[in-house]
Amino acid sequence: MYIKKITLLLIIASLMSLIIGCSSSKPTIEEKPIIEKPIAEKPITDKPSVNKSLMFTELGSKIAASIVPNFNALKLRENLNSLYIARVDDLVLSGKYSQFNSDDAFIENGIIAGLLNSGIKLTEKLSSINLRDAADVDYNTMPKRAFYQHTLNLNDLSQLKQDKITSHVLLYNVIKRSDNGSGALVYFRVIDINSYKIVLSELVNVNMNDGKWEDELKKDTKASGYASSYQKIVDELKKKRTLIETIKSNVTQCILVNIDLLNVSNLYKTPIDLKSMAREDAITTFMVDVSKDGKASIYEKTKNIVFKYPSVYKNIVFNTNPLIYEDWQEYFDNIGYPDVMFYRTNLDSTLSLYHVNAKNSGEVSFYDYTEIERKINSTESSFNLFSKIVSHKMFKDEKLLKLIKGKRIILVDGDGMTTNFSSFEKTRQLYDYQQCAIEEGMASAIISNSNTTKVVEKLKTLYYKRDAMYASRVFYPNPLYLDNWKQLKDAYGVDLVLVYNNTINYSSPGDAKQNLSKISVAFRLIDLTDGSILYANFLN
Amino acid sequence: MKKIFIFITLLILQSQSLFSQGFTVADKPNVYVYIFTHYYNPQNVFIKDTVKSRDSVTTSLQLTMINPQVASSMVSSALAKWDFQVIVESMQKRISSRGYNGDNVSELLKSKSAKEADYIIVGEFGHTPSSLDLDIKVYDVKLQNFIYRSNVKPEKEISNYRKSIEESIEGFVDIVKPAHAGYVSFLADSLCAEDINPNMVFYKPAELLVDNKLMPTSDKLFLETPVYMIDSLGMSILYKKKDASVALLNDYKEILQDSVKRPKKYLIFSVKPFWQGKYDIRFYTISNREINAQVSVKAGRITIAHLPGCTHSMDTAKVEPIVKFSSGNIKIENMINGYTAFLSGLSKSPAKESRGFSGSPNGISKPTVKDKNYAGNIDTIQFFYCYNDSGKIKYSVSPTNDIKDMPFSTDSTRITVQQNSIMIENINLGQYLFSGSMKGQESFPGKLNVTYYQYTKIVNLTENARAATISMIQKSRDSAAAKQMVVYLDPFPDENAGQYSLFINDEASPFIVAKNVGEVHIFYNQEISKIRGINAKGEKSTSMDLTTVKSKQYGELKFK
Repeated sequence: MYIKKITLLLIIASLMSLIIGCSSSKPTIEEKPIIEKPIAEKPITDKPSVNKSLMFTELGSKIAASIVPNFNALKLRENLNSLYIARVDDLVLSGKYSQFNSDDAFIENGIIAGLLNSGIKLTEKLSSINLRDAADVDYNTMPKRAFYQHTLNLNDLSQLKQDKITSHVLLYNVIKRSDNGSGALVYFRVIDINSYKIVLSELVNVNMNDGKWEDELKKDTKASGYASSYQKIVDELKKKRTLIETIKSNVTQCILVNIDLLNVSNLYKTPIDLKSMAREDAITTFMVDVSKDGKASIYEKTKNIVFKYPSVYKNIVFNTNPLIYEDWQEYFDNIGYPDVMFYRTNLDSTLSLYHVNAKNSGEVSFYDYTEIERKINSTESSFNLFSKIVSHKMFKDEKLLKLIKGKRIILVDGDGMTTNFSSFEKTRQLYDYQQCAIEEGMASAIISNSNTTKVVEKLKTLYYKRDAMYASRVFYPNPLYLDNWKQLKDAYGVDLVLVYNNTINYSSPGDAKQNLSKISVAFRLIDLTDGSILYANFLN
Repeated sequence: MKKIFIFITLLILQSQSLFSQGFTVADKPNVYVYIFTHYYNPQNVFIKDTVKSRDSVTTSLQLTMINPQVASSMVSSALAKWDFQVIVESMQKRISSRGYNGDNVSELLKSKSAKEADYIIVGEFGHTPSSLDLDIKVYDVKLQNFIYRSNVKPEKEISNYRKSIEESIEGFVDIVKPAHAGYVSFLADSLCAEDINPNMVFYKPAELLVDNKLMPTSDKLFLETPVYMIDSLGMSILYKKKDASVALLNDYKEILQDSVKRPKKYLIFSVKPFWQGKYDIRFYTISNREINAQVSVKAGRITIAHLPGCTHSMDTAKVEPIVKFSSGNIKIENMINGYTAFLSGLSKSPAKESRGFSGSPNGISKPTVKDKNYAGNIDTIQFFYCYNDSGKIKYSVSPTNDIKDMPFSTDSTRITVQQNSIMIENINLGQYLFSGSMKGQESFPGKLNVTYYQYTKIVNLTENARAATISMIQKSRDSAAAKQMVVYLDPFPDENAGQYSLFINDEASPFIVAKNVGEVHIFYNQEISKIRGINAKGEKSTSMDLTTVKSKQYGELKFK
């Protein structure tokens, strides 16, 4: 049956080429590939040659053949009814398509043919599926929107699933393709349209073996950068057996959210571009691989996830999660998934990843830093350093372990706030990934040393005292703006607060002059039941 | 038989006779009259007068002596006109502290005679020519306290002096009436009512205490009594003398209005109150047929009896409290601090229409009511507004802030304020729209929670449901209908703390002033389309538009 279909396609292609051939100069099989002429010089009716259409169709088929083994590996065929194919390219970045031509149509034809050939059912796109409103994928809004929203119209997709024929959508992004059909770099994602679970995530690099594609790809820095970033992240994450087991133990249903430095500089400091797509695609691929034995599912971001307004961060405790919600239950009620995997791909190419359980009121189960590209004074270094030092110095103390056993704790940066707020306000403007790594390193130490102590991700706004609140008051008060400790306990659902003061200003990663082997941190652990100081230490 | 409305007023004008003015005789209060004289001259007091000389230039004081006994008897006479039982009339010297053999008032009050009295009238004359007033005080034996005081000034003419004393006693009577007297009324259908001779209505106490035994009274004790007769429209029929207060007249009108939907009938009622007790009432028809009835009067109540043989189609008689049958009460409770409430009328009461009141068009507004029983497009008249201001409930009524002018009020409408509740009593039956709102605040350091909540309800006061209680919703923040808006501000835009006035929709007044806060959480349930603000420098913010779809929204006010 499939052979018949291929034969039919070939006949159609041949007929088309005959029709075209009659009106143009007579090509020969030996003729060299058509050199792309400027558009103005092209005839109005741009009819591709037979060879070209064949080439792109073959390219498409080979692309499909590259992705089909994943269907088998991920056992997708069991739940797959029919697949709806949608090319999405970089809609995630711009909200609109680039210009297509007939070559792209042949590529898709080839993909269809290839999938059909492997026994996968496909749905012809008769019903129109609109693209999602461009405004929904605009990341320059105020407040900022979470990156990498699903790009097809959700209402149209729900109409599609009502026919009960189509079960999944195959989204593919042609990151780059050769104009002569010699190769293509394509990212695939398959989504279950009933649940929006991502069941397949894969990047394929197809080379038609004429030796030109690799050169062409290398020359395109964006595309090659995508490929490189993607592969490095996937490779590094797949090596981390402990991380994988931790994810399987703690994550049930999650979405990925890139928080970058939104809660510090109010910006995506690592810009949103093709490379950031690569990173999220890579993490998604890793997560799909982890979830293949039924745990830790990852889902498309279909709901509009919004971050806090920038002005808020000036006054609230450092490293509060940037999501706009007031509590984790509100997040869960709005978004619907109990787990969130937050990540940053720091400028130094360190990937930091951590998991928050929204159903357990924001408990963090792990922090992980992975070095993608080696750099001096990377944030991975800082994270590891602080994690080790805190583990070594603080948590070997049995008394401390007893005090924090079974408690919920938040970390509060009190840097520089001994007599006023304004000095911290100035320092804070210099904060970046390093400071996040430091706090997360300390938090990671708590998690790894006491499996009953829960570090809570700060979500609700908690304000610092201002200068006027320090005036005429006893030296060195707690920096939090509270009337009593019960307010923090009741409103945030935590038992302890760890206030830390770094006496060293850690600067940006990659700064060779900065010696990050030095630590000078003061700690106070406070019991919110009565405000008593349970533990105080100084690490250097 | 077709009942027809006719207007008959029965009124028997009383002469200036002793009993024509007073109460019926039954269980009348006992009064002990106790008059003091001054100690200089226990026999005489002086009535001051000034007389001009013939040349109209000089004046001289002419004093007329009056025997204090006469003054005392004037008091007793005035009391007797109201059918008080004067058990003792006593003349005493004044309380003496200068060695005279005067009597001690407190000892007097403990005397046996005094204990038998319900009230003790204590009168005291002034003792100097410049102060010859008769000071009358009334002591309530049960309450063990003085309940009334009046001052009678000397008059030129003795007849005027008597009149002044009588007026003083009348004031005392008004106070004690509710405790001892009630009213009597008879229902009669039209056939009988036509036949009654309005000039021939008599009463007597059914029994008297004789030698500590209750004995039936003889017909000789029958006395005439002035009566009214009113019809179902509340129109009085041919009464010649306005002895009853207007308020009392309206009481009876409303009793009869209750019968609007029942067979037409009339109400014959006494002009004056009766002392509580049992009475025989005798009517005569025009054909001289006797109709006898017996009623038991209770203090503070209107007794409604059926005229024997004249109320075949009517309900059985019952003793009714003084209630307004065409009116009802609305109570608003749980009015805690920050709550406000409005009442609007959704319909025009027939009671008001009958008096020609068409309702004030003042302040007509269309309510937004989600009540399924509310059809909409009904004119409303907002007439009542109350709010809790720091623990005290205050209210105002429109259009003139006089309860009497308030639409849907009756002559006995009153407003009573209690702890966290307010009661509007005796307003017309009908349909009302209640609109309550709450604006509460609570804060957390850096945050301000404001509840801006409106609650509407249709309240129906009907004949069968004359009382309605509306309880303000307490926890509107927890209400499923509540929406929330979080407005972010820069709490410290400069060295000084940030202060912001926030406005809802196009309202001219801010609904909240926020200071030292980075966010204002607004819980609301009505339509709010936008929030805007003004900062301490007077700069206006951009408008933050709210959608009606989301239950919780976030926004930021940017100031220029």
